[in-house]
Amino acid sequence: MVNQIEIKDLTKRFGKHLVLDNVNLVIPQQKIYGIIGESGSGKTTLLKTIVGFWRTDKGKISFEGRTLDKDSKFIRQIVGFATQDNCVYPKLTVTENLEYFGSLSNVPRATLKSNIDKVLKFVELDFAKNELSKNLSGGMQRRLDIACALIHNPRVLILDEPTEDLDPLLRRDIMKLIRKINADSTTVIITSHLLHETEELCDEIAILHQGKVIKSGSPDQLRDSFSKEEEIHLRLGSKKYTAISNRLKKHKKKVSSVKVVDGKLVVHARNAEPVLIEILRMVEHSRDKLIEVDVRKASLGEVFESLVKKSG
Amino acid sequence: MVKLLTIIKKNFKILIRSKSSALIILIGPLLLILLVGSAFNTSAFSNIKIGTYSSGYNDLTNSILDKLETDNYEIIKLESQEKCIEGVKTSLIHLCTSFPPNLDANTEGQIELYVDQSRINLVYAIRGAIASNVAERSEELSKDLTGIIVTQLSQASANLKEEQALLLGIRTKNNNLRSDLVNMEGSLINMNVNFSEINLVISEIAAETSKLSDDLNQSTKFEDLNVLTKVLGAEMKDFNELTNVRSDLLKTTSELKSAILSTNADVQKVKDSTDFTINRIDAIAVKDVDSIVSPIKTVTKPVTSEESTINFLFPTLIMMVVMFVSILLSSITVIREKISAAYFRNYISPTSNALFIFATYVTNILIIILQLVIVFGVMISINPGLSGTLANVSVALLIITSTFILLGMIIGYVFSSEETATIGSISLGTILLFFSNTIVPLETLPQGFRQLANFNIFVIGESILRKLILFESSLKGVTRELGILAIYIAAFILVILIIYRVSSEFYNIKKHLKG
Repeated sequence: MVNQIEIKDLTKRFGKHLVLDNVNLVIPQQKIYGIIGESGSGKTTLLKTIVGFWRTDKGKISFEGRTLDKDSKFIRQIVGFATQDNCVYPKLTVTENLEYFGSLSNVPRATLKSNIDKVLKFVELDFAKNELSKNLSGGMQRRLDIACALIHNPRVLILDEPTEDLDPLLRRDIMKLIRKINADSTTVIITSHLLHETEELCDEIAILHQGKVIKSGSPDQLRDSFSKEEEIHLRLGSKKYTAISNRLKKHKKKVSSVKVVDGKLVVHARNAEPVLIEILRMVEHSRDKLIEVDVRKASLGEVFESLVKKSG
Repeated sequence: MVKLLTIIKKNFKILIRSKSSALIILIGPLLLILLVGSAFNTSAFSNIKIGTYSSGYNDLTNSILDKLETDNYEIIKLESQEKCIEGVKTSLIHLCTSFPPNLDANTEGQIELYVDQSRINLVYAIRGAIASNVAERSEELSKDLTGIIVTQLSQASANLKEEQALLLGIRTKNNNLRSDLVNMEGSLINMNVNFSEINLVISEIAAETSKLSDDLNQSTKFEDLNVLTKVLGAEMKDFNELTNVRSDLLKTTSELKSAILSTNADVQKVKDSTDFTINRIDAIAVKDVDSIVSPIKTVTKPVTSEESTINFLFPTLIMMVVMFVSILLSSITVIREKISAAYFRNYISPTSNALFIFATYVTNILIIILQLVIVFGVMISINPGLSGTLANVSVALLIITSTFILLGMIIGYVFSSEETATIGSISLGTILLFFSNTIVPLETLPQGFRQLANFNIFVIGESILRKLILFESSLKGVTRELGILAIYIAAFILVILIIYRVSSEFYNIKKHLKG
């Protein structure tokens, strides 16, 4: 696998405040790479530093083997960046914004129009191309912002909190869009503090805490590093889990923990399958109504929580 | 080039779509010109109230006041000097004039003017009007007094000339007298007063008579002869006395001659003295009273043919529009771009900073050119003569406007909010305006400030426009000023290139830390 971006010992301070502390990252080509962390952990600063908006205090950033300090123009040409602030001109129409940013990104006049049409169709904004961007809804504005980042066909798309402030439906749309962009051979770097969607979306994830990368890897690698156990989630119509819970607690070799969380029974087991069969049998016997049953590994949230606690 | 045009197009679209901005930019200068034009279309003062106080008005004071009234000043006579001064303080009157009682040429007191120095321009103007009125009356008085002196001198000169004739008469008479004396002296000298032979004859007669007497024994005839001899002797004595008298006379005539010579010398001295005095009086070249009272006359003549105030205010007016609009517009354009969300996307695009700076400059200059076209259009319709200077003025305005735009851009890069940038721009504009000739004459400033003010962009720009518009100078005539502006432009470009990156980084760090 070819590495698209390499970040070595990156350090950034704002005055006395250390924001990034010896960050080391390797981002592979054509993958969706997630950077998660609490608010103020340095995610946005990291992204803005790797495109040269902030000057580094220490460290080296390279894209496809070319360093930022020597080839910033090349790097800006191959990178698209969509922020959480919607970096567009509200008093320009959707098309005018795309024309403007396309022109700044050296898209030839001849291909600019076709690029705009393509990108608008891609982000499903073609119906609003003559609308002033200030009149667009939140989700449409976010899509326009992504369209502006894509207008020059970048090889790397950086998305800073793309689903921030959006309702679940719009969030789903954006995630769908991100997958589509990645499927088009674009490397996507995404930051979010919504761990569930990052887990779903990303091929690789780095956890940033207080300016330091405390762990990175694929979601499975991260979960495995936390625990090799599986989780069974069960929701019954009666929400009465005492009988099942007491029965499972007797199988200490198979079951490591049983607890009720948010009206659900959560069971941790090294091998979920025989335990799940047992549970379903008990449900059938009790004649209770089965609402939901799910088997999964430890969530990214749990991994994150644990790692953050560990690192203080 | 494509990028540059795209950025400028974007700037214009944003500006036009902001209706209030578009309105201010297009209508603002026109409105300003119309307002200032109608306000300054006359140079005369109106409704100026002058308070006066005197414990004794007389013809002279009344004539001064009448003259002021004919000059459209409203005269308010007040009961006391205190009320008069209070009137200035409460703005009831614009100026208080206190006349000494019974003002005339021999009055020791002065005419006192009480002014509100905070209204410095008005004070100068009214004070000038009153001073010129008083000076006019004062000149009339001087003329009267000088007229008397000149008449007296002329009279004295005429009298002296008359006396000179008498002196000449005396001298002539003296000379005649001297001549008579000389003649008389000659006659006296020529008189034969040698009586020695008569004596000898008398002696011989006496001797012979004695002999005869002896011979004739004393006959009576001899007695008679003796008597005769005695008579002759007596006559002889008289002759001798005559000779003495003659000698005395000769001595006296000699003395008289000397006295006449001395008198003539004195008469000559007096004549020389009167000649000298007459010559001195005659040598006074200026005998005209007007010329003596006002030997040097000043007449204020305009160096331009302009008649309306608006025309000679035009350079200042244009400078004010250019300065305030350029600084404000460019600073706001920069700050709006800096604080806009799109700034980040611009910044990380593969486009150089210099291009963004240049595009901002071009956008601003195009807008101001548009405004100036409107302003000049209006002014040329009022005064078609302006069109002759348009080519030179356009070149100069391009340079002046560029200087102000770059200055405004620096303000935009230095400040981090639209409000502070606006305050900064207005403050800077006001400072530049204050240290120019518009509010107070630069000559009233201390030397140091005056020297600094000579490098004030507003002062330089105004000087260029005045020379080009009012005196129809060529661009060659303003090379020095244009050179100074070129130095400013180069310095400002350098500053902008340095602060562009620093300013945006500083602003974003601030924003980041706040966030």
